[in-house]
Amino acid sequence: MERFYYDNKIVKYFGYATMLWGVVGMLAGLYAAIQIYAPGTSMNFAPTTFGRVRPVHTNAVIFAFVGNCIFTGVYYSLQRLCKTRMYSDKLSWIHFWGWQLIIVAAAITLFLGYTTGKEYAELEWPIDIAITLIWVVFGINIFGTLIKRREKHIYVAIWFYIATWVTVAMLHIVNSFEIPVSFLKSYSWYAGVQDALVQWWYGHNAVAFFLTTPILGLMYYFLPKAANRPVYSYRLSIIHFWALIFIYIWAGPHHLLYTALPDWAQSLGTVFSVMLIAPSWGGMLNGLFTLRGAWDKVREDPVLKFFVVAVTCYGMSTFEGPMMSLKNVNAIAHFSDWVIAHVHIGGLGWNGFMAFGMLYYLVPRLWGTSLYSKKLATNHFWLGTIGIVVYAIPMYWSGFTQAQMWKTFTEEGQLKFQFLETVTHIIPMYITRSIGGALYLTGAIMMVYNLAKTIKKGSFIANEAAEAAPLVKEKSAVREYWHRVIERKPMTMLVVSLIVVAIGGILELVPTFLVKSNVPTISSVKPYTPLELQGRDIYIREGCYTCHSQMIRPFRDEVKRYGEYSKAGEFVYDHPFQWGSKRTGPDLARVGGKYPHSWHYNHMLDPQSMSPGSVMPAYPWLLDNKIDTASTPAKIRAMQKLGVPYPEGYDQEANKDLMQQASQIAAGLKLDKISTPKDAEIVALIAYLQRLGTDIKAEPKDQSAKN
Amino acid sequence: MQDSIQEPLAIILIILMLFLLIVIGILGNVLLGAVTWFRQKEKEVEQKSKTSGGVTAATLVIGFLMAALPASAQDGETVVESVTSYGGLSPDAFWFMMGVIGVELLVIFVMLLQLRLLVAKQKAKAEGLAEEETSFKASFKKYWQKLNKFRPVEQEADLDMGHEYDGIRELDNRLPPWWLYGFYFTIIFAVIYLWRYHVSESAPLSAQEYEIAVRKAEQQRAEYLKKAASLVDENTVKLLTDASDLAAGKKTFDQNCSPCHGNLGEGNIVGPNLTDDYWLHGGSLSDIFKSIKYGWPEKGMRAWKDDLTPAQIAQLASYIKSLRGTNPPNAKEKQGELYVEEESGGAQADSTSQTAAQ
Repeated sequence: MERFYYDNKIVKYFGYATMLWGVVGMLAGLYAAIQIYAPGTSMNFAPTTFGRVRPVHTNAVIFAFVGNCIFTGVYYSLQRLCKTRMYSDKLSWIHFWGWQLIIVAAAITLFLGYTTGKEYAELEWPIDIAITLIWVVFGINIFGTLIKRREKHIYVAIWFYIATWVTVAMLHIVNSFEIPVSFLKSYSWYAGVQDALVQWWYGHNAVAFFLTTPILGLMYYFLPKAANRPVYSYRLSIIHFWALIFIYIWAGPHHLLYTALPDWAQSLGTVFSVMLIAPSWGGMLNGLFTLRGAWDKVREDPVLKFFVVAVTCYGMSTFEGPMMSLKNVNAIAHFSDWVIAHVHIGGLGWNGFMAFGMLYYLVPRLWGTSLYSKKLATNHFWLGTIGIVVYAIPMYWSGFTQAQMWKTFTEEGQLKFQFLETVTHIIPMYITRSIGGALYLTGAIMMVYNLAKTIKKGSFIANEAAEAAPLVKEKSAVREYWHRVIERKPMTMLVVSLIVVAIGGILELVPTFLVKSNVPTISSVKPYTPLELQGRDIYIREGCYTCHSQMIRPFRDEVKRYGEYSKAGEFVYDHPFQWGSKRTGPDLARVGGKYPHSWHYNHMLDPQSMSPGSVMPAYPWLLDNKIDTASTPAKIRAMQKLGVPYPEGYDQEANKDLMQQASQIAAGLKLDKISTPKDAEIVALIAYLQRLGTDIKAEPKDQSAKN
Repeated sequence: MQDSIQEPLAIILIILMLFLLIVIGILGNVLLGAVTWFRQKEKEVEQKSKTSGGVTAATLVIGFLMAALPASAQDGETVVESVTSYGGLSPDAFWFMMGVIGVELLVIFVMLLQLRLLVAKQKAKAEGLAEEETSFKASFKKYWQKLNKFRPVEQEADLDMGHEYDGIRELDNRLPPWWLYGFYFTIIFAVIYLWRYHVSESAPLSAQEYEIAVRKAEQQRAEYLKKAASLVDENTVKLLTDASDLAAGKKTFDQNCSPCHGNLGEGNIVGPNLTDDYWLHGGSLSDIFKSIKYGWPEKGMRAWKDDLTPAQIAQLASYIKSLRGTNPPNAKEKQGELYVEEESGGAQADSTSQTAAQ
């Protein structure tokens, strides 16, 4: 027998970080939720507008809260499942501080408007590189630990950790391909349809491999431990694990149904989503059935209560997701609050409650004491559950309502509701939703208090002693079950996992990039002028895509409301694409020419003056800020490298053209008695907005018929 | 809000909702009492937290939803107006209330079931029977075990794989049959789906689906228009003077035009004054109708033909005509040419550029 010590200190720190960022991320979410019905709460201050707060919220809850929760659980369980201390304490601490620094850098840059404009991958290239490095450190630490383990086979929780690690690495690297323009500004390597496909391949699998598989790993450790029950079915673990990681990776295109993405890719997204139901439910069943014979404990133990609701929410949202991937359902759900309800069942229910359960389990054990107040924890459980219900129901309601209103025609064939009416109609739901969120946040704060009290009454066990026999290399006499063989070889597991997850990605991405017919060319689509390009960067900076889509789907109501439906060829110069995923405001794909310059000017200064009842915040600083013309040449050169056909040497000419176009717009505004300096940011933004969706109109008739 | 709240149906539904809420409250109390009593007797922990929490949860949820109701009911009323109404309620509000009542009934049902189980258990105990569940629960349990191919927990030792990780053991339970067949089913679904869309091409892809929808809608619209005589255009439009028409026109104006033309039509930075005698694009009823319908996009006036019906445009144009000479404060200076009102409205002072409109 060998004696060794588990490192609990790193677990403690990650646990603290989980609590801290959990509260911070939820606060940001609550703030964003309130801004939707009270746009004045942005206080006319750029960093606190919805378009910037929303990415802060999503990044904080995903990468800071759930990220640290994963690391807490992995650092605790991996040591115990491998019967060894972590491979290197130094690497553990580099990982910890590196990740926290990334979070802080992320929060600062997002508030300041440095963003790539790709959802859940908003962070700019230096941070992307830092993430990659820290992720590698994490990987070395995991595999180092696995190599020096004292347990012959690796447990199912670790399979999930391995798959998580390798897939997140792949997703992050492929999706973050971008060309730096300057420190903190870059353009996506991909354009339009391709960028959309890569982004949602990433985005969907961030949900799969950051919010699902690692948490399933945690479930496989903490749930049987807390219930003191054996795992229900080893066989189910094997089948659902491999099926889940293989199928999940294909499902990304279900975020792009009815868009300009080629039909074959959309169909793959749909069918693989449907096939995902069973593998996902395999995890839920293995969790819930493990509790057989322990349901009496669930009634008493808040930890198990949290786990049960978490696993149930997981089951609900993994059934709902595939249903939303059916085209006829997606036609209603997409761009509406239904999606928001769906992700929050997963986020608040599955991720949040797993994190809470785990923390309630860990803290008393790490401090060698009992929970300060079980009653408070039970109250947290109920408050959280009610919070989820009060959050989700109004969002489902508003989703259905708004989608129906969008689609309603009068008998004369006119749209019955203007967009704004559909927004003002659902404001009561938004208010109710924020109450639900506030309840949930209150619960989380109660937890922090409860755990702080627990910590106070216990004494921390920094190095927990354990004993295990060393691993001896020996051939087992009897032939092992085939899967047991892989379980002895973590490196093989890593390679096989990578192959399994790479298949779906390669088969979807490569044809979209190489087969030309997927993106039919439209000859009249031209690159953006320098001024429009600068305007587009402002659009990205302000996070307009968080509320406005740029994708008109081929539906009668959308064509009537916004104009001809969007074609793949229209986006070939869009680095990054800006299709969006939510329509809190109307689609902007063809807003060009719809309103006069002066309308846009006034609308940015005070949206309610042009659209009474609008929930858009004001952007007064655009009137004062100067266009960053110094960056124009670098931006043009970067675009040229990405294949945008500006003439050679145009980078030096660009600012001349920019100024000329700006003067025209300023002169146009002058006619409406608005005087503005021609180098104000508003001018660039107007130029971009007036360009949107207009290229296709210049196209010769016969050609448009072909596309 | 007052309007819809005063409808008899609304009152009945609200009373019903409140009544059910009270029933839930009473039942919850009874259930709580029963549980506490039962627990005291049994000295064992029994479902208390579950039921009481459930009740609070349900009550709170309903409470919150009710708080949101008046506002949404109001909106529903103003916008839906003419379509189907249920006893004066908008469909939204009606179905919302029905939904709340449904949820309440469900909660009551669950609580009654709990109460029955509790009583049955107590009775069984009193009769000296072993702690067996009621027949309903027992049969459900049997069905559930069969459905999942459960082996009794007592036989667990036979299933142990012999694996042990930090105290966690693994069992060799079979896959639940419904899960496995469900998986097969989704795979078959996937094959058929791909076959239909991409091999046999018997299901419409997005673009085809769009064409089908538009064709169908066009047919319906044509049929409707054949029957409806309300179709007006710039050639047939007549000045409307009914108070109700002008009120409707004013409403349309307030919603759509006032941002650029001022609340009283006085004009502002963006749009011209509509109350004076000077017009950029002609001041006859027909001209105004046309300007609204097709817009003057190059000058910033957008086309409204996709947003407003011809009847609405006629009301709006008539309302604008009625603003003439109202001399609102802050009126914008005159723009365009003098338009002299004529008897028939046939002559136009500025008609040269009319043809430019699409």
